[in-house]
Amino acid sequence: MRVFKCALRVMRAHLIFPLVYIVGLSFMGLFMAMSFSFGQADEQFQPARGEYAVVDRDASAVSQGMIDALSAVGDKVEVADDRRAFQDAVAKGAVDYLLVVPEGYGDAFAAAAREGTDAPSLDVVFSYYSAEGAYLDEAVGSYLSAVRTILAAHPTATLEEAVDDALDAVGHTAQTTILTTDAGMTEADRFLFYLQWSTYTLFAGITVCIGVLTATMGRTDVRRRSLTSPLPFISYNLQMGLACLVVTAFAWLWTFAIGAIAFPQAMTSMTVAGVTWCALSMFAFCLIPLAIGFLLGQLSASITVSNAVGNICGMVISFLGGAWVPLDIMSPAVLQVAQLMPGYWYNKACGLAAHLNSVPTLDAIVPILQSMGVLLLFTAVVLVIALLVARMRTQTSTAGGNAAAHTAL
Amino acid sequence: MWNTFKYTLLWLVRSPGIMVWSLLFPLVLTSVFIAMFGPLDDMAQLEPMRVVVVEPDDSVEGQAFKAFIDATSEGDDLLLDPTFVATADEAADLVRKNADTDDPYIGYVTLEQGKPHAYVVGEISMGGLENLKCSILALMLDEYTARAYLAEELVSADPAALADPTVMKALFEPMEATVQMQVTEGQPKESTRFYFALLGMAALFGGGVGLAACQRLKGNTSALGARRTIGATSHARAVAATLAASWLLSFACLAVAFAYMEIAGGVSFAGHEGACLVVVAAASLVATALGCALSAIPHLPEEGKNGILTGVVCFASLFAGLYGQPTMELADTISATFPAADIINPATQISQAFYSIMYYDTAGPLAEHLGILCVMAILLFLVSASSLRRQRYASV
Repeated sequence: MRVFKCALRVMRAHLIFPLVYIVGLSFMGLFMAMSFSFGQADEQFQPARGEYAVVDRDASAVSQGMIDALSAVGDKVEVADDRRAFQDAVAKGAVDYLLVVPEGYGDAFAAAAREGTDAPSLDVVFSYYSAEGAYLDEAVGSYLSAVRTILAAHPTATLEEAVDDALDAVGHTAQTTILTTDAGMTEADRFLFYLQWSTYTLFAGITVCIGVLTATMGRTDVRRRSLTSPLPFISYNLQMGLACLVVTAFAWLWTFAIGAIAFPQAMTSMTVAGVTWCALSMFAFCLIPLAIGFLLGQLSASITVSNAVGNICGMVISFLGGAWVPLDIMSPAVLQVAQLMPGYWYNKACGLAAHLNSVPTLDAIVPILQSMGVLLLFTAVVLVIALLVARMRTQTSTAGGNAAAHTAL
Repeated sequence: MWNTFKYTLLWLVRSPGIMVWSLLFPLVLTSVFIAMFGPLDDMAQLEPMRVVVVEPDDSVEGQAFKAFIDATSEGDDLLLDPTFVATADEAADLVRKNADTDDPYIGYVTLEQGKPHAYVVGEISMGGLENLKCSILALMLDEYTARAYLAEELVSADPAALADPTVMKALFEPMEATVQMQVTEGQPKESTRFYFALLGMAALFGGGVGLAACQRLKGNTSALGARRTIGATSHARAVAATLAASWLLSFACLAVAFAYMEIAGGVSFAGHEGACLVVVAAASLVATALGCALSAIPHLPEEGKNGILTGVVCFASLFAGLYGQPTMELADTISATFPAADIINPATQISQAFYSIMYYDTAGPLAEHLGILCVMAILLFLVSASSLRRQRYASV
């Protein structure tokens, strides 16, 4: 097992790569999955809330009532009354909705309401989450419409009375209940998101580590030395393969384990079978970057190149697996491409596995196996290419074999 | 000096590893972003919400409710896309059956004792808009309920109140109280922030250029460096020419990525290209300085330094919000809670510098970010100064 031990020593000498890529980057996924907040857990419907700011130059009962009406659907953020502050608030996304109430608005509004003419307009600014802005705008419209109606119906009512009555009317809300469906979000989804995101870290990490390992062991003079040794070629290759597998297994176990430790609630909500199949799917996925790293090593790619390939492919695969933006809002063309990529099948397998019963039936397991099968096929294809390249490379003068002697003649 | 500059540049351009990072990487990711955010920007305009409505009865309330649903599902900016069914059970079945499909209903509405009641699905997908849509539906029904209550009150106080056309108009005509205005030069688009974060990341990966060039400058880190120490060019000139070549290459690659973003990606920089190129120049300077600083780490092979560079850049970009929607929200939270984290993060500074060009009409914020970037570059150069100056290697 000398080759195997030597390969692990090489890995130890390049410890910075597993440290940065496998250990370091895995925390990125953790951060992100932890930052997720899920709306509601049970029957109680919690309406969305937006961030709003009201610049009140009027300070009348009407504008005060607007702030009260908005407080039911959002959280107030203070914004100073100058253009730079407005730009700051909107550009940095501190507010979704910025409302400017001009001076004398309350009186002008009351006069218009009593005469039945169009109300004076208010300036609003939406931030880039424009849907939230529209939502908050609706609340303002609803409140103002109530004030208008009361003022029109009771010409003698004061502005304060009208505002109080309007707020009372707006307080009469319809009932909203959560309808339970099978598609609801659970803690397991947080873990699933972590698994989905780890496609990037796993892909980049394993590709780079294996690329480094095979490139270092495949240098011309090292190959020459090992070829002249009495060690059978098959044994050499098996030991190298074993070393690659150990590195991959480390990446797999580390990534899965810290996910499991960080999300204990998800673990308890999933069955043992579910967790096991998730872990197996992840391992099947890990084999793809293993094969790619091996291929890069055979192409004698430099470490910088395997670094770049690992990162770029990792990002593209995680993106096409839906880790950046949910896949269901992508265009159909992107979706079709996504299905040709391993990230999609890995997520499918994990998604199915996470919802397994404690004693899964064969019908539930088969689709997971199919997705894993696709992943293994990806591995097989890359591996075959890598072996072909390796075969062709042994015939070149730099590979350390007989070809070098031929060229010398 | 000119020769040093020329051959450093040529060597850098001919190194595949370096060009992959500084040129191919931003181009590939920009293409990915174009595919990703094209549909997302269209989505910001809310599509009508698919909702199941239990056919109301023929009572007064029922007719009023039917009229309300019809009013919200007709015209140009319709809000609802209703499907009518006969009973609440049927409605619930239909919603449940479609929950897992590509075209789910957000819930169903029914009239219970004359009052609307919404049954909504809540949040059913990660990062989806269901909860917001449900909230908008709830708010619409709230508005309807409030209006019905108001009408009832008016009639009970004064049965003739509704005969007044002004009151009728006030009660039933849609309120158009607000006008959208713009305080920023361009309307902020969510996707633009991702492109800027990407430019930040791509710029920092350009640090690989500076790193590789510095490694080939020092006598103890590469064979080329060892040869160069006995050359006739003075060390100061060699350093200056090497750094200038690395900076120029990072700048050129980033400028190409920037142009690609504008032409192929359709990201509009609205006539501010000149200012953007200034930011690109400053960003490349920080990247080159970062590469130099990393190259100063002793007893670590070049690959190790490259690994550290990748790690640093990935983390910096994470906090600049590069990796998709959830990250952007995380980055927003962090910059709101710890503003200091933004100041030390070059990726955030770069993307915010672009941002300030687009969304402020004064040069103040841009100058601020450029200033911070220059300070960063100076600090990083200072870190590497001791290893860049002329020194003795393995001397007796």
